[in-house]
Amino acid sequence: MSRLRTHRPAALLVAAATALALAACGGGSGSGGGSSTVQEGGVFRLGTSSTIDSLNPFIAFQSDAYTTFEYIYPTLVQYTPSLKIVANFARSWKTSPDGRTWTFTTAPNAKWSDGKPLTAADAAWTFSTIVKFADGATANSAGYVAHLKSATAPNATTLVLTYAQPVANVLSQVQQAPILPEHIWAQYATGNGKALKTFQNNAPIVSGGPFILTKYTPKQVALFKKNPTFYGQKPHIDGFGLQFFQTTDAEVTALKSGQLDGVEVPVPPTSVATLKAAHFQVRSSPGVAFDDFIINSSPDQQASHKELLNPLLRQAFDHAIDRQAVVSTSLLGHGQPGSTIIPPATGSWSDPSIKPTTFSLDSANQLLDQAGYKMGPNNLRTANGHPMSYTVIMPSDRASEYGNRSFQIIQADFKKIGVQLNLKVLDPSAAYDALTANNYRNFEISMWDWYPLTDPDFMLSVLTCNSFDVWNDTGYCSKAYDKLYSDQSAAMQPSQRQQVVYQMQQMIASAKPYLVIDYPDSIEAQSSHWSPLAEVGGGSFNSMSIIPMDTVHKA
Amino acid sequence: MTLPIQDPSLAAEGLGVPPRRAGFLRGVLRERKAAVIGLAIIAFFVLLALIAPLISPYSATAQTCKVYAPPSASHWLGCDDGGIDMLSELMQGGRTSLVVGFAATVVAIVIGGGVGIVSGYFSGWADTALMRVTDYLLVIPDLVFALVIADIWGPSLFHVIIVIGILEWTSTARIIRAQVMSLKQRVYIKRAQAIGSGHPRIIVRHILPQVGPLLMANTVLTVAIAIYLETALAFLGLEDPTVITWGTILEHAFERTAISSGAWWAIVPDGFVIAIVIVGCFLLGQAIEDALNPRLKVAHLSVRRWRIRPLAGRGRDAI
Repeated sequence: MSRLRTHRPAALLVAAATALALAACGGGSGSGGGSSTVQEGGVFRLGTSSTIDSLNPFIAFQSDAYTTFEYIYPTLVQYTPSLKIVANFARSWKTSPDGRTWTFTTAPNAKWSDGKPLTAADAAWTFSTIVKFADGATANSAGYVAHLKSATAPNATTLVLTYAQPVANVLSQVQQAPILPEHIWAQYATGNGKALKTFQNNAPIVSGGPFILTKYTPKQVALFKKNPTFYGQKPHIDGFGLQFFQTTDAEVTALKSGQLDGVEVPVPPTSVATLKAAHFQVRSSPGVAFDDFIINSSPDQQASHKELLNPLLRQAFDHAIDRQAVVSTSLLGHGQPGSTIIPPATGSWSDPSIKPTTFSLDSANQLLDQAGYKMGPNNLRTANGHPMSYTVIMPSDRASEYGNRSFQIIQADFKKIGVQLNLKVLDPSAAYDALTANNYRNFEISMWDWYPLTDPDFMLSVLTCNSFDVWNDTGYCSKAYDKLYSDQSAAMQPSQRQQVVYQMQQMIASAKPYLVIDYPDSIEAQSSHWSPLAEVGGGSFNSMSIIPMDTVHKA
Repeated sequence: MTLPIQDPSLAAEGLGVPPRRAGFLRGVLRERKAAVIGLAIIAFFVLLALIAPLISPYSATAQTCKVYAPPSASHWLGCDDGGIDMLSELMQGGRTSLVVGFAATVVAIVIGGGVGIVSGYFSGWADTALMRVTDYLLVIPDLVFALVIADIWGPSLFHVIIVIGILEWTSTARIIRAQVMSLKQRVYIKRAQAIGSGHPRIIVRHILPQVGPLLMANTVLTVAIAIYLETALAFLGLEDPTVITWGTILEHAFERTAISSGAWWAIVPDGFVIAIVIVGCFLLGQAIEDALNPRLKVAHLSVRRWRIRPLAGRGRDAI
């Protein structure tokens, strides 16, 4: 349903030749890497099973689209592999004592790829435009500018952001915002701003980042060329190509046969052994994603499954999930049993005191007995006069990976506690519609996943009452939780914010709208003819940083 | 209550009134080796499906070995992506696939036979209406239509049976209708009408037994198509993924990269049994069809095979 989820349409491979015909790059890359041993040039061929759905940032949904924006448009700041926020287009920044005014100093003498000057004014225009149409055309970007009152550029290298209240995560907010060329986009930001969403922004795109998107053929290939006018450290490679695959099998085969130099996350765990045997660099590192069971948490849900609100039932279900079996069979050991909704790989925001619930069918049975759900005919328990049989909605992209296997493991164990689970696989958008249908009253259980951002703000916001019908997929809504959510976003001291974030995770861990099953490792594979791609936040090709493609070079 | 057969050679060639079904089938089996092979294959798999719970070495749902463990002495066909014994899974999958194949065929034959007989026997507006519906369904591409319906109804075994059933009856209806229209003109039908038999009685006692062998040939051929379609739909993810069928086994192996992981044993044996069963159905069905329609045998343009027919009779009567 969103760019934060994986999208993996199961269909046939659209074969695309990756004969990358890149024009010779102008502009020296003299001051490049610093080390003289680095071999310059070459084209890195990357395979992906995600897609670019649109090149317009106000429409785009899919992760590869956002990665494209990260590389072709400047962003103020970026993450490093150790998840520190460092300079990108902004060279430095400072905060006023009250925490409401943020002043960024941007790179001097920067240029767009068409030769026009790239200044703080472009950034100010981008932020102001998002704020101006936040309820309409730019709604999908509104999260970058939460609480922002105004954005101004007093001179070419100064950007001033003024907030209505102190905001704790300004840097991680602006990190996500691609800065657009005002001279191209301004003509669409008139009236009600609807025209912003009609602009196709086709390749070649006027770019300000390290690369220029020179060619894009939907579902086949996207070609990026080094941007000679880039303000920062220029990439070593002449460019890179993104080849789109619709089956991971074909993608992995292309890597093995040398048609690709690397494969974007996630490489299926089943391919790890063969790729390693074929001398590819395979990296498996703790990922920021989690797989979850969603139990309907709407207090108004239909009487036919209202027992799902019973805390004893939720606890019992939690005990009946054999997380070890899921990790060893579905993930082949490339993952960790799940506990809290802020994955440990995101760093210090994850509450280490929340441990994975132990697998114990005895405890589960006891809890269900205690709740008064007696065993009925066919070894099925009865709750409120009906057998405990539930439909589990799973989006087809989950089902087509290891989701099916995980479900089968869980289904078999639930049978042993007298609960029948029936799988219903739906297209991702149909699945989300099924969850939100009738104001979250209809669905029973769902099995899905999240790819939270490094900053916990987004993942925590998913469970607020405000994100009903936008991100919320549980029907959970609590005034106390919402209060904590606004507290954490205003807490300026990291330690103070951490405390609130921990408290929120504990609330969720006990209310159990999500039963977190596992954290799959992020697995990447690439050819050993190249230096290892830097990995930022569980992947080396994402919208968090330009470092990976900026620093990669021939080995 | 068929009429006595005056000329056995005519009966064998399908020109006269064929004898009872069992006798007919025996004749086909005696004369055609392909039919024997086909029947043997089908019988083998049906038997295997029936006794699968007794002889399957492991559980078809529980993990008994490592993920994609290669074939070994304890696991003859290796293991799949969930660490489940492939041999046991194939046996279990065969049960479901054959049930789907036969159930869908029953649906198809009941609808097809019913429509064919009604429209051939009654002619007139019933024929026109039913044949237009048939024409309409005939021109819709099978797989595309199946995809759309299966997607709208949602993935489940029952839906797959119904989808295949309502897709595959059309050609049966056409063939049966033609046969019934010809039967209707025969003297013994006229005679039955003359002595006051009602339509239901004529259809049940006189028409149905005559189209029996034809229906049987169609049934066997439809089973092949149904198993194939079931596999295709499951492979495309339009079947309940928690049910084990030959199609979902293929789907799981494909989705979890069995090919690029080198786990051929998760795909090849499954593809092999599907192919064998379909070939078996085809051999048997074709043999029956050939026996019913000798023109297929002698036509010089026949794509199957041709030979010069003896001028008259068989055995002693042959010239």
